[in-house]
Amino acid sequence: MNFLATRYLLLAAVGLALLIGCDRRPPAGPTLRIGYMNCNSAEETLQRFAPLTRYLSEQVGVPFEAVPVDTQDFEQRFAAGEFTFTHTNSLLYIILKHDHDLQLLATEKRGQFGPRTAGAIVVRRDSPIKSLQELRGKRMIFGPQMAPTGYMAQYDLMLKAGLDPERDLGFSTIPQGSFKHEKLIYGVYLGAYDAAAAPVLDLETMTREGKIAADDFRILAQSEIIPYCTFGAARSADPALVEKFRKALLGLTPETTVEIGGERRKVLGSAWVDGFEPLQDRDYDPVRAMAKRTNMPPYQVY
Amino acid sequence: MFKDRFDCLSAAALLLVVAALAALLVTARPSDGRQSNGTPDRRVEQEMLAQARVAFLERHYGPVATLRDRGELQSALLKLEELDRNFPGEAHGSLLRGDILYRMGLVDRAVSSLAVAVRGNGDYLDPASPLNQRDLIAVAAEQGIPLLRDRLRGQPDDRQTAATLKDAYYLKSRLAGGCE
Repeated sequence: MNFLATRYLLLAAVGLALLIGCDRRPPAGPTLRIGYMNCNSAEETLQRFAPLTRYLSEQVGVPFEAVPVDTQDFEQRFAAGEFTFTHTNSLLYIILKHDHDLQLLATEKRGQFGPRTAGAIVVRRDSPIKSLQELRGKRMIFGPQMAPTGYMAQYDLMLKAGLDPERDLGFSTIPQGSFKHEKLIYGVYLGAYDAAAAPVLDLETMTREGKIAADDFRILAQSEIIPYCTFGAARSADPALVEKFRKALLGLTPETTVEIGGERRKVLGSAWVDGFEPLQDRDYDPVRAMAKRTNMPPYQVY
Repeated sequence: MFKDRFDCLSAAALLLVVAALAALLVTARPSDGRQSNGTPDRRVEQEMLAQARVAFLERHYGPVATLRDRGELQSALLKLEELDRNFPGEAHGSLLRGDILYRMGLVDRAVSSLAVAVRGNGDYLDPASPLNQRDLIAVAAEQGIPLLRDRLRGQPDDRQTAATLKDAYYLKSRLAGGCE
């Protein structure tokens, strides 16, 4: 073979390798669905998790579709077989585990406590209310009912203090629409309510973003620290696929990127996540205990 | 050489200046705060910097310590979030966060924060420093190592726990000090 032919052959080989290396098309095959619990809105949930879903498709070798799901509808839609993988809060995880034997994959890390967080009852710093007992007859705003650190944890704190939130408060409500947690924090800040059931993570985030100051509020009580949002897999899922999915989550670093919509985006940064940790199912026992004490699903008794 | 009286006067003045300079060089001593080579005394400079740093930390991070000492741990953490916006990467923020997380029982998170603090400022391990926090760092590392080792045995692919265990060993190594 002469020198010119060898050179062309080498160029062709390099070109082919580059083409193969650059091929980032989503893998072919039947699409599997990941149900993402809505946090603030369906639109925001899709935007946040699109890069993560693309990353998982590339790593696992299966095309995934992100499906935003209302918290209240999650169990029914999961039971109907709509999703193979789930991304939910810790309360929904224990419900799906209890009722449908959901497999625990990894727990999301975000904020000061990593894969865990807490709920707090807050009042304005200048409020005359100094203890939980003084909430009797007052106006209080809670997060959505299925929020472990925006509703259940605070309900539990009040029960432990001998208060029945449904009888002892003067008035209580849940905000409507999107960004409920921010709304209730602003509700207290602006004086519309005396106290709020605030997730600690939202207080942290809003303080970091400069929306509120640390001195604006007094924390009357804070719950124990419980696991944060969690990835799970249906029991019927292929075990090899589940293991690849889990490893892909645990392998994420802040530098991991994917190309999506013509842009190269950071997977964790886009999802507002610091990383994932492999917690154990027993780490969710405090959530189970809280659900029992507050008569919440999956232990609700009428 | 000397053509007139003015040349004589100039020469005399020049000699006087040279003699005065020579006398000055022979008799001069380094003044306080300066070394003989004319550069500022580094010990004085370092002492001033150390005092300024302690005053700076007290001024900005004092409210966090006050909240912590009153037992308002979550409020103290929120105050740290606020300070992080103004002083990102400040080691003292990591030190206080580690202290608060340790008090909350989150030993693994405390170890990570304390390791960041010590990497940022070794004074936290210096017994002679006003910033010394050896006792806190030692107890967090001692409690963290068995806890993290057990967790890693159960979950060998837990990279976060592996990284935190390395942080705990790093703290232990820094507490032990170098070769003497």
